[in-house]
Amino acid sequence: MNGVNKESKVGPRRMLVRGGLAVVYIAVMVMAFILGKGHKILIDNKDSQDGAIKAFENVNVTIDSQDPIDFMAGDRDQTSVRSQWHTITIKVGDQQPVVKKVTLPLNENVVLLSIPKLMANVEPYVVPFVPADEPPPPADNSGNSNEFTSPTGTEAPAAPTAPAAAPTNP
Amino acid sequence: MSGKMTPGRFLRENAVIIIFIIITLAAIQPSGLSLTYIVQELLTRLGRNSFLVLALLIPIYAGMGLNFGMTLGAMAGQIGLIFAINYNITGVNGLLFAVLASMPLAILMGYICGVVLNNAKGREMVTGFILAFFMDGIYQFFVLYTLGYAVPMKNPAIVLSRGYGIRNTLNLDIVRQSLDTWWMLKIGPFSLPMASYLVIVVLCLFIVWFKKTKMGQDMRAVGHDMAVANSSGIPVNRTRIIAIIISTVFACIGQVIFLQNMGNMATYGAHTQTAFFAVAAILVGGASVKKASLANVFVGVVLLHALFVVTPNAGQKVFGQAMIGEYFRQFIGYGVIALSLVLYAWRSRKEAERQREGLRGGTAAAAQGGAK
Repeated sequence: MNGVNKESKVGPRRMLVRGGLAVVYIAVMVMAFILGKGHKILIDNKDSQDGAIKAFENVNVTIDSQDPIDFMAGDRDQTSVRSQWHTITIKVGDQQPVVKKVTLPLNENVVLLSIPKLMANVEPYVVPFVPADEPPPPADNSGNSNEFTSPTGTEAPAAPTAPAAAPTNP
Repeated sequence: MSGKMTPGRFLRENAVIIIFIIITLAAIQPSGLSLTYIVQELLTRLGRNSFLVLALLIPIYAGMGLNFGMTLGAMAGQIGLIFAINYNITGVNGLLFAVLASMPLAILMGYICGVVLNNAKGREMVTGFILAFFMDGIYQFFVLYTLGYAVPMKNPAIVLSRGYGIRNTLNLDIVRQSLDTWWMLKIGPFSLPMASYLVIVVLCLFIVWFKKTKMGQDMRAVGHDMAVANSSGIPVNRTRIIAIIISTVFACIGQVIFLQNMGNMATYGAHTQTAFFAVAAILVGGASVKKASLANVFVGVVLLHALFVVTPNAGQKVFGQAMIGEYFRQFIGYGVIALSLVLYAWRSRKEAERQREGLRGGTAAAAQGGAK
């Protein structure tokens, strides 16, 4: 019962439609990727490393439509945002608020945003954040044994360890 | 199955629904749960599970029975979600990305499943069931050894400490309930996840429309009688493959919707029960291997999950242990599938006997008429 096996010829118009649909499919996926990409912003109100740009004594920062955050000099806070493009409203003391547009690097999950540099228009005010000593993620031994391949899930025998040092009397 | 509807016949045809209603009603009181809580749980679970159950309809129309192979689609959906979490794509965009990234894989899986089932005509359900076990092994190999090794994974939070393979449980916080909360309607004490409902309504409309198309009609013809459909020029194998591909793709989307509601994912086990609960739900709703409708889906989801909501508490109150209620869930789920299949086989045999008797009676009457 193989049914009717017709060799259907695909015309150029149909090929064009199919190609167009494939392009739309990929475009929607790329759009979802770019617009949905989450970033963590560490907002910094600190002096620049060379000391040329000073931190603000009191500054209020609002990212997009999130709640405003108050910073004193030397403060750092963090917030999570979605997509690359953001509007940052900065209010220094009693001055008029300043609105700045910021574009985050697409591939960076965590970035450091320096408010003093942004206000002074000194590049780069957004830099990738590299933790000095990132702790390793908590160990998960679930892939180290054969529990996924064996119904009994027996663990591999533990490696022999060095004998504990003999207790010494104080 | 024509003829007068007697009380006995009504009971026979709706035995599963009636048993479920009785058990659920009996368990509500000892569970001690308020009606508001139960209704809210059912509203949430309707949004969470209906899409997966709807994925079973089209193969039933095509005469392929209950598609236990939908697990393949669920696996594809999970792989899509792993990539969405890896790239840190949040919210509804993360779900959209997961669906779009996994859909080609779901189509491929559906095609493979369809080809295999075409070689096992008449034994589609058990073949699909075993195929899901087989593909589970390939899925585990892919996720446990390939991701992070051959396929780069940049998010250390999801990769095992050895550097490759995905962790046992994934936190889906960045997409958690993003579809449900996108448009949440509050009516009195109830919260309705309208966006999830909208997606389900769109799928229902698609199924209604699809049944009226040429392909839909072909599927019904194939489901009715493959030999006749083949004689009338319908490409039977191709039609059956398309039915399974559509079901697998829906299962893929359904699993993404299900997991976003749950908020976490058991990487190596979330898909294993997908087909089981979906099949149990549609059977509880009154569907059979050969016949199912949209109403069966929603009645089934409500009844099965009403039981799932009340039994742990009822088990705790009656027996002093919540685990009894948990065991009861499993027992009921498998029991329903077994009972429905047995009832279906029994009804089919009765129907065949009735038709044979009708033929004999007709022959005897003709013979008597000829003698006169």
